[in-house]
Amino acid sequence: MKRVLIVEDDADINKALTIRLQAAGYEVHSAADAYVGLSLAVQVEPDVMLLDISMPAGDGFSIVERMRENTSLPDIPFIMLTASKRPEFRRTARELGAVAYFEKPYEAGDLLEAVEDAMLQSPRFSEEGYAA
Amino acid sequence: MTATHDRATAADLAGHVCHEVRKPITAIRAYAELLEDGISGGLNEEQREYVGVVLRGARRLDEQVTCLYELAVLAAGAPAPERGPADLGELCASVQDTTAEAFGARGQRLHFEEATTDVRARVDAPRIQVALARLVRCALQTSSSDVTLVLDRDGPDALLYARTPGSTLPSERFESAFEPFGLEPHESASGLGVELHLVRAAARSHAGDAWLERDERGTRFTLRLPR
Repeated sequence: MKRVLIVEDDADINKALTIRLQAAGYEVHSAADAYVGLSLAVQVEPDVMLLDISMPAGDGFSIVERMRENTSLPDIPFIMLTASKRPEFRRTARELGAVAYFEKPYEAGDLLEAVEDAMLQSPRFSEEGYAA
Repeated sequence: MTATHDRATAADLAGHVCHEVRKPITAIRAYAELLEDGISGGLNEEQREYVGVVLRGARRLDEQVTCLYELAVLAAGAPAPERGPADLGELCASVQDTTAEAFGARGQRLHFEEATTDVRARVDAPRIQVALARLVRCALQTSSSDVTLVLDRDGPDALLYARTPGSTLPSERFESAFEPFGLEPHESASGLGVELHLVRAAARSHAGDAWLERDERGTRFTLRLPR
């Protein structure tokens, strides 16, 4: 099953994302801060990560940066989510290689489409060629 | 303390408020969409109507918060656009998608007349997309007729306009409509009346402009952008 990791500190939004992705057939893991998010990312090796930006214990960007410091970890495609309109967030996301960037409130259909597109870049997807 | 400092502080405050208010709006929308999509079970017609009201309210609230934030940022000094190459035809198509629900709700249609050749420009695409959507929504809000979105070239510039034969905006308000709060609440998607002001600010930040004019085919809500 295709795995998605959600790192989002707002419990209501985290749960809504989880329900939405599970209903679409994904195995979902979730964390409420960057510290737990990073450890889950290492542990479950998701196919795609959905990362909030402003969170406790580091922002969503720090998860990507910390994972890239460990060269034994695969390069997991990630999507950034934020309630902020700060243009520098969008710029940083682009520079880090985010496959998509969503300002909240997001359109559920667009987000699902972005997750599906991001799956095509998952290292596991290209190795195994499986479907959800 | 200087006026510039005060405006920057107001923009920071607006940014913080916008960030915090968008979280509950996101939750409201996300759960209403889960209900609408029947993920926790099917809805009857009445329940579906109520969920639709919740979703429309959440979208309007988000538009209001976003407009107020952009007004505060403008007052602090318009941010420079982050330009990149953009296909304006694709941008128009995306505006058709984002405004489809608003047109459907009013029983009107948005047509698209694309230029015969590709029209590309170096623009801040997300910002111009929002500006164009607002321009189209203003054409819709002030008319009971269909709206046609036209993309064309005019010398070195790209010309995008929303044309409608039935706009109720009188020509003596064509300039004042671009002032902050220059539109009446019913003429504005957010109800705040600031959309055309924000559209012109986005256009001018690209060294372009926005204006209203009328000819025998109707009223034109125009956005000009250097390519």
